[in-house]
Amino acid sequence: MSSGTSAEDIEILLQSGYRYALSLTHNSTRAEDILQDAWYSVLHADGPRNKPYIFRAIRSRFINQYKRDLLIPLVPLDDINEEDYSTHDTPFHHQAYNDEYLEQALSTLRTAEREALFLTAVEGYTAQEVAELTDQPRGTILSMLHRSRVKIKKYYQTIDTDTAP
Amino acid sequence: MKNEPATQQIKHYYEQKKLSPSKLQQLMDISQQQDEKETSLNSKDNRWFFKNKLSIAASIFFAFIIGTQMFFYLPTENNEALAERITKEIILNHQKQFNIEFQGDNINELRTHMQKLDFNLIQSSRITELGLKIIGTRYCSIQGEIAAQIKLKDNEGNSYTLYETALKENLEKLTEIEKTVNGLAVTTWSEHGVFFGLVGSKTN
Repeated sequence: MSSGTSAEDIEILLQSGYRYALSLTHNSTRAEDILQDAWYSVLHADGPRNKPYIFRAIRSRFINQYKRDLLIPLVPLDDINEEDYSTHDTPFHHQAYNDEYLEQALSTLRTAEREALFLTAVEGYTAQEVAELTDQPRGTILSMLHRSRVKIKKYYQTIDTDTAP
Repeated sequence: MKNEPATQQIKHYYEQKKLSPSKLQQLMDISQQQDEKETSLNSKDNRWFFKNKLSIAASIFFAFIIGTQMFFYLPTENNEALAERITKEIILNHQKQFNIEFQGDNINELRTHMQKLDFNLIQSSRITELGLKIIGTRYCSIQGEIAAQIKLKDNEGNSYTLYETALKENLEKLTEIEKTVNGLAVTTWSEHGVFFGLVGSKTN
């Protein structure tokens, strides 16, 4: 591969792009389609083959594709500071962890919440970096992260209640 | 995984998700082809550039003169240009080989899935005449307008893509297109207020 990017780097980039698209769509087929479309555009435009560029391409395609019927819902900005946010990084579930439950829990989140959670938890972005990528205020991102964690915890609590003897 | 912090749980969940091997291979192949094409062009360009500096200067000068003349004579948008853009868009979408969103073997079934279209999907008489079988559909767009992209197969297993979109004002002006580009035959026509575009390795 030319453009200073090895085949291995391209594979890592595509896998990251797929996961990001998955966090937006929560659907593997749609995630593959959006990634493919974004990848075509990156190659066609001879753009840089890096995460920020491909993530932006994926995000813009996701929004274009669904803008007719699905606006990314953003919750009102709440006064939540870093401390509130960081203290919530405790396990979602004190019982046996199950990917299937987490998948269902993630499906209860709004697209923008899932996206923010993915970018911070998986990609290691700071709230400021997520804010820059998504063109949202940092406070909104912190609010979304807080709400998404609360929602997931609530989901697990429901499971606990339902499965209690 | 017990008592793992929330961030780790989410990280672990997403890190297990991987692009399917076939799709990964397809995307890797595309980038490799693109790189090979660029490398080939660059090396040719470099050699050619150094040998032909004078020719380049002369060409730029004449291109400027001709371009200036044409600017005053060409209409801003004509049907030919629109037909060209639509042909390119249809071929490009066909080559991307997107997955279908909804399976179905007839237009009525597809119609029940494609509720967001601003027109009614219809069965074209041409598709019936060609004996193409419907496989499924997905949403797409033609010239920025919402459209249905329908996957079809003939008896020999050749793939075709049919596009249906509302016959808006700009498309109404178009005469039927019949073209072959890189071995792919493209045909467009309209019926009952719907614009159709069919692309495949053969359409006759």
